[in-house]
Amino acid sequence: MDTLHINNSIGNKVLYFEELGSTNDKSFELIKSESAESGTIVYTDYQNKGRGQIGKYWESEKGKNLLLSLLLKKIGLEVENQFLISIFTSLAIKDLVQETLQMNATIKWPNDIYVADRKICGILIQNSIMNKLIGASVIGIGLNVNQSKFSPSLPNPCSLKSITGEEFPLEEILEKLIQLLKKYYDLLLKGQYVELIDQYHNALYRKGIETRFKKPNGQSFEGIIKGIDPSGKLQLKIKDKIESFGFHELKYII
Amino acid sequence: MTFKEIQELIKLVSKQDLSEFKLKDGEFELTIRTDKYAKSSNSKPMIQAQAPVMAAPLAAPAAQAAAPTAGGEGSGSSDDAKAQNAEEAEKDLLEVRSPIVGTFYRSPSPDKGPYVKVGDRVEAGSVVCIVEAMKLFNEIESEVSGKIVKVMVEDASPVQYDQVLYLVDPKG
Repeated sequence: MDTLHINNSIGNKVLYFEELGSTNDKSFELIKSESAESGTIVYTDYQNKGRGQIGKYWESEKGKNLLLSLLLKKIGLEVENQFLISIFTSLAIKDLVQETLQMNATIKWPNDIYVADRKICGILIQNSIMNKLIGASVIGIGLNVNQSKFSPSLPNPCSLKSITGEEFPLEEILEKLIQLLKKYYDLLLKGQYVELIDQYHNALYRKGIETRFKKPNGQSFEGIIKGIDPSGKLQLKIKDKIESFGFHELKYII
Repeated sequence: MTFKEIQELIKLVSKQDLSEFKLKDGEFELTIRTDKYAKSSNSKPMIQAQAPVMAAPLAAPAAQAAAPTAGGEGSGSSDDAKAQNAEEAEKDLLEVRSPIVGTFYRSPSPDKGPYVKVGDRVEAGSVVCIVEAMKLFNEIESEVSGKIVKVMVEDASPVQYDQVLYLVDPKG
């Protein structure tokens, strides 16, 4: 497979922009115009159209946080293995937060990074698919670093600073993140999927703990988080039975 | 109108020196074109009878109410005719299928227009939709070139692996 012949060049190039619509949009622009190599990081101080999930926005105070996208080309990963992109990215950021804070961090399925019961980082992954293969992937990362006031509309935000009271130099955090992304992307390139999935399981928020969820119809229920199935669905143990849930099939009640 | 009645009508029209015959009765519309129409307008001879809402194949119960394929062709509501014509019309069409289980989105975000509409031309490699799966947003690139003739799935609804998303006319 192609992937094996591609060097892990994450962070060989870091492109900085003072302000962008969004780092993901800029990355796709660079991919289309063929003006960026795989592994390029697009980094900005401010996004005026920061994106979350479909129809949602990502808010970030200017110059306070890490806003970047990692752009990967010719990944050649089969689309059914797409969740591995989420896994390797989440693990890198989880380690980063943990090492920086000297405190436990977890991955709230599918790919938010949490410290205790608060969200510190969001990830937005966009892939382009042709012939059932992932061609390019753009991984948007919004890590809250030095922001201390958040919009009241956000349910449970936090930042490195809101936890420690300290300011953190963004460049240093970025440098560390690049090293960790490289480390976990290496596992993906080497086909060590089982290792990645194992580590992801171990890092899951509320793993093995009875947790309350809500179905789209509003009905709440409890289940014990066991892990994920091969497609990335969340597996819960509910009354001695294992059931799998897709992203739109449940919400955490935190 | 039954399929048989339509057949009768076609026979009748073809015996006359007509290029085009249109019939409209309430929501029901029928257009029959002969060879002469083809010669006069450079388009292929065709008989088309479509219901206002096209027959949705069983695999896609959420199929969109398709707009009539091209200007001028009529619509009909006879179930038999509808089924037969839909089948015949779709025989030469190509399909864009979902490579993964997920949620189908026609546009990049709710405030933006759809990637493609009925009548738009797509090239192999053009993005035609997003299929989101486990919060990964997959932009699906068409493997085929042609004109979009039908959108088979409603925006923001779940899709299965290999489910047909669009029908594409390669000659369009």
